Amino acid sequence: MSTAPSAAPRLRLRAPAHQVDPRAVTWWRLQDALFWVAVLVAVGVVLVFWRPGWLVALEVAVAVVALVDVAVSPRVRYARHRWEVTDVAVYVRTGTVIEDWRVAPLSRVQTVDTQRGPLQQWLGLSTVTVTTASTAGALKIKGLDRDAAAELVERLTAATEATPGDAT
Amino acid sequence: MTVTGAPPVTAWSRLDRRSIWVEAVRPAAGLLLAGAVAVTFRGWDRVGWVEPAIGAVVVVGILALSGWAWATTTYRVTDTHVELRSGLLVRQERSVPRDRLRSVDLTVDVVHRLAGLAVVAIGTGRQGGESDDDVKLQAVSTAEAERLRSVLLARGPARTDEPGAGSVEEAPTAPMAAFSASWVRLAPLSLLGLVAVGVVAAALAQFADAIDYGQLWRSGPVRSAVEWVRGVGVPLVVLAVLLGLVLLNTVLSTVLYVVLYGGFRLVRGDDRTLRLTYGLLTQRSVTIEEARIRGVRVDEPLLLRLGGGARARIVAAGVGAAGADGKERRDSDLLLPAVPAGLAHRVTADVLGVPDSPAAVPLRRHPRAALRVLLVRWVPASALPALGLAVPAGLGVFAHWPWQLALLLVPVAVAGALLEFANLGHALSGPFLVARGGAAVRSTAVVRRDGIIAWRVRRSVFQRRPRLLSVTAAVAAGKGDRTIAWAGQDEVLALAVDAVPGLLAPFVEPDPH
Repeated sequence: MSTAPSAAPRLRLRAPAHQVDPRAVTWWRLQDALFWVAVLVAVGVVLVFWRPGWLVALEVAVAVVALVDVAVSPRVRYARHRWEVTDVAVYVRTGTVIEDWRVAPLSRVQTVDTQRGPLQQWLGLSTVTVTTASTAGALKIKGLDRDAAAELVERLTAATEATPGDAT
Repeated sequence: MTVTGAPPVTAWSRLDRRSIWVEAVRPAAGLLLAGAVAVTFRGWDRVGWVEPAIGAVVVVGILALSGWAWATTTYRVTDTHVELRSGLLVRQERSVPRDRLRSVDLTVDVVHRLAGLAVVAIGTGRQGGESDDDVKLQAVSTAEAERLRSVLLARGPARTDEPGAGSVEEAPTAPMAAFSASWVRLAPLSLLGLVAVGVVAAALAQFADAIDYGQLWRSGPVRSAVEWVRGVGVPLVVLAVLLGLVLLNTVLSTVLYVVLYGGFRLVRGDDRTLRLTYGLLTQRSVTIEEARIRGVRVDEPLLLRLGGGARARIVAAGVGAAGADGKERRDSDLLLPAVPAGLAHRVTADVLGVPDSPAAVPLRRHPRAALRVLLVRWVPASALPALGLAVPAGLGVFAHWPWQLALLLVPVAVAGALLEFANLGHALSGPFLVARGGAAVRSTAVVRRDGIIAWRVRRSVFQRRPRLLSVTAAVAAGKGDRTIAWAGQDEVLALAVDAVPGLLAPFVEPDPH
């Protein structure tokens, strides 16, 4: 048992093998842009009627933050979000400020779902959710190519059905 | 699957007919009580014939609804499923596979006991999403409840005896734990009494509208109390109030402890189940299939720990989870109420089937860097109230003493961080993973390594440089997920790799940095 103190080697979780589809960057960029446009328009409507200096400054500041966010964060997110499915487990990494790694064995997978929002449908993307019997064990792979996602779901479902019991 | 013992029931049966009026008693009694309180505060002279008439109509209405609920609810136990049909307007049909059943929970409160009825809740262990497939029968006769319990949890080849309906009345083995007078000395160390006072106060506050405050203020007792406070000075009064609260809590907690947990018995049944029975007024009897137990959790609130006591809960699918109504069935995962710590460890070891309790093994401490993270989490937030109060005080619109008083929160927060750091720890102990944490309540979770169904590892940017990770072992059980918080990265990854062979290992690599 490797509970021996001090001599422990330095370890880390390795990056999962695959990235999601590059179109996911466009998807997240559109999502972010839509959010910021809504904020800018809301403040802009107020500006039409009432134009104190600080509110104009706020609108400009929001616009700058929005531009930086739309330009940078989808790429960072794309770089951070990776996934992998081996013969025994699903492994997903997400998050930048709070990093999050999840591993679930295929034998404990309960359901495999696919979601496609309007933007994703237009871009031909899918999000695959793998759930286990615990809320801490839900894995999401966001922004896969639609066909690749379908293939993955099929593979995961087959692996799940091959395991007897109710995966608890 | 064949079920030995009582033959499976395939006909639809109804709840006990007596439940019609039994279920109506509680709302009707509440109504009467409200009426009585209103009359006390407003006087008889303002009660005409209208109020009693409304009351009578409502009581009749409650009875009618209760009767309708009885008439529309049917259930049956088939070879493979438990089915429940219910619903006054919206028909609900619920069907639960029998191999999904984890626990049977019988509750008999005073009214039900007088009528010879019991409420049966069948735990299924599904959670999240559309999972409201907990089955609750409210209520059936006690004999039927016993029969259901023995039929529902009787499965598998180990069952050799020949139980007729309701024959599992008394398990032959000696209890693993039984209520003892020595437990009661631990009761005052909980805040149960103060919580009860709070609940009662909140309930009374609902009638606050009916009180004439001016009159209350001018009344004799209140005036003399005010005079007394002016006479003896504030510090003495604060001391007296604190003393009074401690006394009140001591008495109430003790009474509640005895009422809630009196007659506690924990027995291992011959059908591989654990059965807990307790309660003087409301009798509770919970049966849990042992194969479903994933671990235990030993909770030690600070006061109780100083008094040498501990509580224990069961980590198993189907207990401790939210029921069909979204509310948790209270104490459905209880293993032991506040008892001497030694007994708690003996019983948990017994339940887990090992000679020594894994909850008592020496744990590996977390790196000092974790203390820094904890201080950053606790202290700034604790200074906020003082800061918020100091700004208006500085501007001269507010007194100074409130923010000075609020400053007291800071040392409390520091103490909290130190306490939580002291509590952090984890270990592998045989087939179990042990994780300890919590500040005011030290909580030691012991989960079976083969019950871990997923790993979740988290790290914020602040944890990156001090090489800390929070590792959650996901368990398919109520609130079973166990987090080893702010542990040293290298050590906790090695431990997680060892804990579940083959799961995390392919994803861990040597860190060159």
